[in-house]
Amino acid sequence: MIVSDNKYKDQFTLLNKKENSLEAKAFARFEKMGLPTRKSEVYRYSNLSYFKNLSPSINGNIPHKIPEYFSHDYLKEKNVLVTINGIFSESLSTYEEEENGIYISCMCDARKEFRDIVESHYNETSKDYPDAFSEMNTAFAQCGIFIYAKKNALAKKPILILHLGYAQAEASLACQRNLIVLEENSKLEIIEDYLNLDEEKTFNINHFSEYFLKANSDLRINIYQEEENNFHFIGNKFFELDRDSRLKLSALNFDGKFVRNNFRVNLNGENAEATLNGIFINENEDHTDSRILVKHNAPNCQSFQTFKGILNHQSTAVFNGKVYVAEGAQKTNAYQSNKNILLSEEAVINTKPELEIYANDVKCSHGATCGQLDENAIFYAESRGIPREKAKKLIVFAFAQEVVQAIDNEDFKNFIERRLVHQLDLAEYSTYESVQSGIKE
Amino acid sequence: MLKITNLHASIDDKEILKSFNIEVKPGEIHAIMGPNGTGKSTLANVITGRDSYDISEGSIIFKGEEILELSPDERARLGIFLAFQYPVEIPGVSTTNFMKAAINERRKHQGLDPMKAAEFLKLMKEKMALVEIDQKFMSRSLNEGFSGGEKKRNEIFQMAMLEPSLAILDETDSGLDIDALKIVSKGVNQLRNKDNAFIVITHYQRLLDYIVPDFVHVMYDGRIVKSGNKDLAKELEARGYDWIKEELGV
Ligand SMILES: Nc1ncnc2c1ncn2[C@@H]1O[C@H](COP(=O)(O)OP(=O)(O)O)[C@@H](O)[C@H]1O
Ligand SMILES: [Mg+2]
Repeated sequence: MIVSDNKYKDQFTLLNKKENSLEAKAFARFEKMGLPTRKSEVYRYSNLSYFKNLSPSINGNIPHKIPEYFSHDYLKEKNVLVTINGIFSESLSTYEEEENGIYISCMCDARKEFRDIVESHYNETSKDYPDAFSEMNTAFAQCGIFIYAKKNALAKKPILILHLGYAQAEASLACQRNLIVLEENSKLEIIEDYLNLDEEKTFNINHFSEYFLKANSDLRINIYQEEENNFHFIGNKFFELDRDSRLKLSALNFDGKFVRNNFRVNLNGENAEATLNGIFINENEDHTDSRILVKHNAPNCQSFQTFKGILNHQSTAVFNGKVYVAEGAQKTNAYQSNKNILLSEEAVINTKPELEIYANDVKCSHGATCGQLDENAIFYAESRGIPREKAKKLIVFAFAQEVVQAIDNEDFKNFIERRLVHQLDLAEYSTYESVQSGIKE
Repeated sequence: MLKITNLHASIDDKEILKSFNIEVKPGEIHAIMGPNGTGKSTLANVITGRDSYDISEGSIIFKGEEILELSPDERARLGIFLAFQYPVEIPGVSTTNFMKAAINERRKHQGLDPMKAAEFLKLMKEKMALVEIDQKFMSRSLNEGFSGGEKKRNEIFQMAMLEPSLAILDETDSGLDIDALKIVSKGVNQLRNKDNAFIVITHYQRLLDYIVPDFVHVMYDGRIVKSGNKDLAKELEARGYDWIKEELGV
């Protein structure tokens, strides 16, 4: 494959953006930065050479027909928004444009119909930390999703965003872009799911979502990413939290060939609270890279991060979580933990929890562990008649539970539990729930 | 039921069991007493099949079969059970799930279908009542945050669920108050029948007031140095171990 050195420029020219437009400015910044190299601290352990060979797609190739995608149980009774190769597809989506004060539309329409809101929020989160992929996304953004919860709006049902890949043009990168704004006292739940419908083809995404949580609003996001193969994902999710707002995010990653999740949370108003949990389960040559930055910019905020990694074969993972406490952000309460299990000799985890604190009256704790399965626990299970391989899987399953059980959407939690049971081949033990609930009665 | 002959076990080139011998017949209760560090837990682990020990010599015959080459789960399914001195905490696995896995593995090897939920539930309730464990423990993570006494009762509960032919109790009484001790003993005595056997490892003769042994063995430096009936336990309680050392000339 011949890749023009100027492929970005060539592509961008085709977009015909005005000289002073947001896109042109973002592109200029992107060009100046270039794609990060391994010298860049933030991408040190992730090899981006694959992405260097991709060009951002600009033509919006929505296939006319896609195979029926399978339906999860948690699809029922929900607003379902579908993007395909990064572009919002109205025809594949089923949703109410307005329901209980929650407005949904494609980004392109939102620019007209919600002009003020879009103008005052779009790309506002990317200012303080320049990131090449978010700049690239802004320059090349396809028409994505806009969700707006007006003041006091309480969503009746979760919104499911299904990101589908299908027949994506070769060597292209979809710049998928969303804006979510929650006004005061509003409440919303989002599930995001990624699926490559065409396993022969790669599915490459540069995802960028911006979230604004106004005073006392509440946002829950559950993210499910799984691909057997061919899924390459770089995602930026930037959150701005005003006073008394709450964010709860769970990110579940199964078998991503290359998944980079960059979560950045600004706690800007007092009593804001952010919880970020995640599991990554990697096999073969999978690689996941979770980078989290939580900034306590105001006093009395809380943040909690719990990430668990399960790595097998030659898979690799990076966890880099940082809590930053700004001057004056007194009474900050921040917790961060990353625990990992390595199931093989070859698997590698690079974990780096960090604290940077400029206030003196704070409560911060962080820790990372990385180890093999506990031999004492394996022996304990074996001594009860459970074969060694099963015992190991049971313990891995158990290891993941801290994060799984913290998911507060029951349907989604059950789905993830079943997914784990499947992953670990523990189907025969999966009738537990009924027994457990029986015991509780 | 169990015959151990000339067993030598070492760990990191340090020999811990040195020509250990014992024979346990169905219906018997054997108590093993001895100072700390003499190899009592090692013996329990070796019988159960922990593979971190190097067995240089000897044999363990269980129900007529040499079991040294069998894995711990195979031995468990043959009917060996160890109540651990230090039960392991497994966050994320409830006692219920753990027991269900254990019971159904055994059933699978017997060619049976998994136990029906209702039947399993009934069995759980029955055995919980036996050791007076509150039902709420069953859905909590295995041993996590349990007190010492709760952990030990949970071991006896698991034993009652699995109904082993040979149960080894490794210092199950340590750290138990008298009420818990009685509950544990009641559990053992109810399970006791002419076809099964117990090896009770303990420091204190008071347990043996409730679980009355047929034999008492004193273990020292990796082997049995003295055997007798339950009166030997009383003597040990009164006189300590020094007189045994003197008898041995160490
Ligand atoms: N994993 C191990 N590694 C090295 N030495 C061990 C290990 N386990 C036990 N030992 C040693 O073996 C001896 C017997 O220990 P143990 O069987 O636990 O004795 P007891 O149960 O009679 O107190 C002790 O000296 C102990 O330090
Ligand atoms: Mg011991």
